[in-house]
Amino acid sequence: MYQTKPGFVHRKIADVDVLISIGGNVADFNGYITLNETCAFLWDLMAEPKCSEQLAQSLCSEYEVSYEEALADVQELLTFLTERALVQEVEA
Amino acid sequence: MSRYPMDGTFELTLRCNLRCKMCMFRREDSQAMEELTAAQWIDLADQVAKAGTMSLLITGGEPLFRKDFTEIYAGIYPKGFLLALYTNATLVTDRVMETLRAMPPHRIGVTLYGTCNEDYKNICGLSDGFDRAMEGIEKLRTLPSALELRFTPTCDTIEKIEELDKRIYDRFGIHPILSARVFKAVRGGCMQPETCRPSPRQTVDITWKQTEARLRNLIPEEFKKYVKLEISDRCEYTEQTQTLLGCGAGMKSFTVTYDGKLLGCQLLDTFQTDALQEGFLPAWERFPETVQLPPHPCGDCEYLQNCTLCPAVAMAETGSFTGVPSYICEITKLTEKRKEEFR
Ligand code: SF4
Ligand code: SF4
Repeated sequence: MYQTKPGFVHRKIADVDVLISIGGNVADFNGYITLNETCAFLWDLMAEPKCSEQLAQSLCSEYEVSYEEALADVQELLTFLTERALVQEVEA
Repeated sequence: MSRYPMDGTFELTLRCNLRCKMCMFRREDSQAMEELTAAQWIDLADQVAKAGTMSLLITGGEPLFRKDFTEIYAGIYPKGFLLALYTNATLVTDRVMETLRAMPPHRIGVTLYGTCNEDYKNICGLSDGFDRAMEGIEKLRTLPSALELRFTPTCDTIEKIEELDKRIYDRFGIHPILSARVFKAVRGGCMQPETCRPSPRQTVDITWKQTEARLRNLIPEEFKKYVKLEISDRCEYTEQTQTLLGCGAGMKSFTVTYDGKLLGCQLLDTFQTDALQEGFLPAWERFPETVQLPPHPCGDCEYLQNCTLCPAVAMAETGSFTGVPSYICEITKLTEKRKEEFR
């Protein structure tokens, strides 16, 4: 299961999704990250622990995309986010 | 560019524990100042966040002078701004540090007013002010926040900029930024900066020297003999940007004053709406209607392009938008002369 790390506030700035680093997180990363629309959608879902299949399902019901494509996108994104310690793996 | 309230300033108070002679803002301590309560600031922060503001500067007066500073700060912080805090660093208590450690701002700006306690006594009315500011900076630099140090000089202390630079750099590894332009008091400020600010000549001399030294320092030793510094004029914008006051004020930035008024620029309250009464977004939307400016007084001046005169400064210096302030005019002309000599 994957869950977003605390220490970011998800905000909308001029129609752009932005994660602002706050609290203890400022020591590791003093700034902000912009997200594309699907990434922002998945980010919010991961406030609670989710597995990649659940995330792919949600992506399919929100956007016109096949399950296989959605799963591939989700996995790619999770790798990217975990490598940068923005998302952590948690016990089910 | 369409209008968007990207950068905000919250002026928590215009009171201050110091009494700097060249302060543009400070008002006499008085119970009569109707400062917003902590709850009102936190509610406004919520409105401002919903309106989409990305960067928020918390300033004063001296924001740490408010007894409820930590309450206000801790209420604003979780809304998720790129947060900056400006302070004179003489009131950094353990309680303040505890709050800032849990919620570090992204940037902290500290302004210095001299090189020793004697300066602080003479200029700011606080006899151990320098020591206290140094202690405050020692504490603040343990935070992960980006730390900026500034120096606002008087006609006496401006000559000490090199000494200050060395002391501060040796101790903190940071070169203080010189803010040598000091305008007359604004918005009912009670001090008289014009009686002690650096003269136009001092300002231009020191700014020039500092800038040149900084630029030369950027060049690695082995390249110095190949590099020649050249001056180019301010770049001319090919794209026409829409403005209200000649800059981003009221277009992308705003200030909420200690009593909840919405201004385009903290220096100028001629044009204002009421963020407290109307709500932030309606006040922001109505703001442009309030702005009415006469034509620029220096229409055919040959230096117009390189002059920093703006409506807020004209008003501060002359009490009118059509006044031409000799202080600015002289700085511009001396700077242009310097450029010619350099060329
Ligand atoms: S310049 Fe700053 S520190 Fe000095 S009196 Fe004004 S607000 Fe206070
Ligand atoms: S203030 Fe002086 S230098 Fe600046 S534009 Fe006006 S006349 Fe020219």
